[in-house]
Amino acid sequence: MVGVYDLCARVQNGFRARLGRIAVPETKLNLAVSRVLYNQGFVSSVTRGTHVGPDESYVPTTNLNVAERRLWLTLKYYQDSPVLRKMRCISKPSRKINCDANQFRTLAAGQAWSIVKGVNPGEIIIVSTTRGVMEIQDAVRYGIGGNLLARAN
Amino acid sequence: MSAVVARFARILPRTLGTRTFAVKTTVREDGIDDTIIEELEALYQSRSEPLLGPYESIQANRSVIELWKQQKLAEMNEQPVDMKALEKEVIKEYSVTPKPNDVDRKDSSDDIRITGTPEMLWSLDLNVPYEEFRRLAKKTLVVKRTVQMTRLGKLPSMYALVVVGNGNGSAGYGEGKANDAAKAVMFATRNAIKAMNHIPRYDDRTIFHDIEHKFKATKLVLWARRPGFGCRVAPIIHEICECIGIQDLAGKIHGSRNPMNVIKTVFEALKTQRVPSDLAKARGLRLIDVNHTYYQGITPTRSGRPKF
Repeated sequence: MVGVYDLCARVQNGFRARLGRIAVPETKLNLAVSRVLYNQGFVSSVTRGTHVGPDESYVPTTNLNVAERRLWLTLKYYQDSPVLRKMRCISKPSRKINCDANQFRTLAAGQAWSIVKGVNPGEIIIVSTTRGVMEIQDAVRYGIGGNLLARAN
Repeated sequence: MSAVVARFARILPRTLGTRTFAVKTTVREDGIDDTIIEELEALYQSRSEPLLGPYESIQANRSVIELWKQQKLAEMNEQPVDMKALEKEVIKEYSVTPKPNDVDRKDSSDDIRITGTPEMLWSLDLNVPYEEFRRLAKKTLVVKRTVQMTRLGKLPSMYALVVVGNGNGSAGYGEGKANDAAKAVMFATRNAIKAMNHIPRYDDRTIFHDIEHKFKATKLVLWARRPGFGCRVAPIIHEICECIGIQDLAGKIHGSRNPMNVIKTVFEALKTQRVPSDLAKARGLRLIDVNHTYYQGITPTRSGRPKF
């Protein structure tokens, strides 16, 4: 899969069901987006593992075991409510949204652009840039544009 | 010992132990004192009463306390004693909980006050001081005539929804039903005051962030706005903002605009706000208010607390 649609759904559902940790397919994009979530404090750990559970020690992903490989995210709850309420995709297969650096700045400041609403206090937008997958504020700091992947709140 | 005294001896409280009742009485032929029997009978009577609690059965406790006092007197060899001090000492020694001050309070006129119109009824159990109650903003927003259909006909009653707030972050709504509108409003006001709780505001003037909330068939969108903007929202929401103390807000109601449900939606929506301090703790971030730190904080153009 080429998008974060699966990850968004799994993370949202996991939080709603009050799960302790969730297993997500192990792909480069999923790992990158999970890293952003971890840095922003929505998720307390990201671990490689199998479909049964996280690995105790390092196990390389090979052609033989790739079907069982997963990424395990440990979910966070604070004061009896989930830390992440909503995670939605912005770019969809039917409509991909790419912006340049100026448009990132307006979005990060809270102003809407095109069909994308501005970033609310407490919200993050995960973007894919030439420098990698990161949060929109980091992209603004670098002064680069990219593709809007998802929005987490 | 005779069978009579043996029967009474079983019900004596443990603390008495092997002490004897040293009371001046005439000794009967079979060696049993009249007063002992009377007192034991009183004890027996008091014991057979249902013990509803430490304050309800003061009578029961009274008889035991008298007994202990007499014992104490005997111990002190009948010196002239201050009865009040003696009672205090007995109570302390035997850990008898003293009667609280407000158990048989005769003057309860301070409990309930009727302020002007019969709609405003204050009482102690509202947990709001009288002065504070008078200064609260009470807005009757919905008054409806409801009907209960029975096999004997229509039973009408009046329903009222009142929003109550102190203009400084505390507000709540309450519903009341009664046969006449004034009583319904009174019940609603009291329920509203009981249901008051704190609503977080940014800078004490607006909400923290844009809110989208759906309750029943009412979809509500609220936007935080700059200082001096005003509350550009539907009239019902405007009244609620005045009660809460929100001065800058923009909003739109989609779907059902039923006033009762809109009020409930607004209160629910304002409760879903994400306060930055809680966010910081939940996500482990260091959050700084850009406006206050870097732009010296744009101060509100109006003073915080509206005068009612």
